[in-house]
Amino acid sequence: MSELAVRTTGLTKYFGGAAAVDHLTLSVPRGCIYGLLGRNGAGKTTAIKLMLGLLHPTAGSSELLGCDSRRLTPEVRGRIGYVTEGHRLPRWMTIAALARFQRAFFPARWDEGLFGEMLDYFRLSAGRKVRRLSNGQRAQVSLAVAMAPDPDLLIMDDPTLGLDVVIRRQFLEGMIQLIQRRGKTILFSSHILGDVERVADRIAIIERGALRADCSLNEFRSAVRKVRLAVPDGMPDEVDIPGLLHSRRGESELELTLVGVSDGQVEAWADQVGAARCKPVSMTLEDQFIEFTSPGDGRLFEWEGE
Amino acid sequence: MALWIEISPGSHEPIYGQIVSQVDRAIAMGELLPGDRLPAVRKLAAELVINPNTVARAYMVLDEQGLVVSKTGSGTFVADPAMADRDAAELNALSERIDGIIARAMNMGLAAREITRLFAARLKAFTGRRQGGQKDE
Amino acid sequence: MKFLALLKKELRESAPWIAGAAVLFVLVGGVLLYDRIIDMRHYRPWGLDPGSSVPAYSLIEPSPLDDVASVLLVLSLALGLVLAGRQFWMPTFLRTWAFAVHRSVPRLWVLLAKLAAAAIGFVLAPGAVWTLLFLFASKTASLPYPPRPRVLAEGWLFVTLGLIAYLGTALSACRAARWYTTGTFPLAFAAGVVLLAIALPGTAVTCASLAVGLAVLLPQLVVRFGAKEF
Repeated sequence: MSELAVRTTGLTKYFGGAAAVDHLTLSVPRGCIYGLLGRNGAGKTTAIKLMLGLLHPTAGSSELLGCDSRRLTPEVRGRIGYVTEGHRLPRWMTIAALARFQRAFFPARWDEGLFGEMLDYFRLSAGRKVRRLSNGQRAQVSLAVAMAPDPDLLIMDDPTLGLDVVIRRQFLEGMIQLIQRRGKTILFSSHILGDVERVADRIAIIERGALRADCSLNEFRSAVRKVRLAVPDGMPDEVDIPGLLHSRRGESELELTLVGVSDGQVEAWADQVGAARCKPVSMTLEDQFIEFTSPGDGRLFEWEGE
Repeated sequence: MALWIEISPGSHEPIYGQIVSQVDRAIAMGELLPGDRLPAVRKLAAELVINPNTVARAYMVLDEQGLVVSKTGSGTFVADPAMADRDAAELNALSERIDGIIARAMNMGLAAREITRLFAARLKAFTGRRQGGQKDE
Repeated sequence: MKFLALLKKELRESAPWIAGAAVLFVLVGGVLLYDRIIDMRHYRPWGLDPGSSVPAYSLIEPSPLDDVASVLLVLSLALGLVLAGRQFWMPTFLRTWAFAVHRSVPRLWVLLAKLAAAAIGFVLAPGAVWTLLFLFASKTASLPYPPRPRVLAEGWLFVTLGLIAYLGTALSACRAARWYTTGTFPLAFAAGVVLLAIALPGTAVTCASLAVGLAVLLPQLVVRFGAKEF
């Protein structure tokens, strides 16, 4: 039994000349809620498809529940729930037919009670056809159908994309319900930071197919900081602190965005250049994400937590 | 027990910090009395639609601060301040924060007397808002 | 249990096309046959009375099911293209491959369910209808002579050609190559087999080309589907 629910090692995928996923190495411990963050087109869907063996890597490897992604056995696949991007389901099926179909593959594990509860909670009747459901309702059905077999690992690709506020909240509530059960691992990709902040234990940030950060959410929140300094005129243009993301010059002020830099280090540097009055500027997760993924001078920053 | 907790993701304060501040405030205002039981981690997580670990972390921080006491199996209860040990390190930390406020006030140009008056006024207003209005010195 | 669920799903998805083909064939084939029956009522083979069983006539008399057989061929080929399109192109278009393939069964089962559904479709729509029309032509008193059993067999060969068209289209859909490079090779190959089978005389040649077609296309399809990226 592996300690890790998901592990990728140097996972790479080229489409033509461009790398959609570039030497991605991350690990998701069991029981963790893991948020894969990244902008549109960053490579999140490709990474997930590689993990599920729906795409073949150009290089590198990945494992789900200890099993190589290219050779996932039916038994292991049975323990992995997958909510696909766009929640594409056969349009002709009714919800009941969909449940019957899904259930045939899980004679032992299917939890009819949970499925029924979720349908009730989402106020969906089993007789409705998939093609008559809205995007949000289809997402809810996808979730119910993926959760009912009690998967050990649930992988969701941008599950709340395009959902309205109310449905998104209900969806998250469903996720929390699953989280409350011990030992379940959830890997989900999203670019809605509010959702990630609510439910994730750990996050990974992917940019242009490569991993930029892999740490717990709390660590990220406390590591990415912004400070404002009063600087004398004639300041050096070069700001030389390791861990610098951005520096912005005001009239007699300098604003630095830093990663993993302690107060002491900042003060030491400030003393060095004769700057004074370090004032921390609080940041929202959105601010932190934006600053982290778009360093001013075009460098791509990489940072790893514990 | 009236305990309304609201959190908003996307704020400057991490979610666990928001919970800590609100419980802190509730205890200070007398909305939570010593011995009151805080909501169960799972229940609060489901209500607020957040990860249970976040709630657990908030409770842990409150425990470390001495505001609550966690009893495994029974839950988390508001601590009795009379019984709590006054941690020297905590008092030190508190003193440093007070120093910071004093420093800022002085930088603004306030004299010592004005600072004292300001502090007394704020303390009076704060305790005046306490429910059950116990008179404090 | 699991395979049955897969098969039921594939059948349900292909059902409209199979039913449509069956209905179309019944109507067109029935009309053509009826037409021929009317024709033949007015025709008398020289020196023979209705009911006598001299086989010589069959050398110069066209079978009453000739036209129907032509329709059968076209219909089978068309059904092959359509079924393969529904089973292998539509999921790409509708983006439902992930749903179909991420299952607690070996991936081969998903393919086998599709093949089984197609086979059932061919047996039912062109196959069974053709057999019924043949039986009708045999039993009816309106025709001066029944069609030869050989005609029935040839019709079934046409149905198998439809299967070849199906496999060629399916393989084209499963290959990663672009259509303008080698992507259409399987389709071209299938077309070649079909042309060979109908152009060259002799049942033996037809059966041989069918066998070659199946032997080439089927294993390739199994391999390609197993390696397909979604």
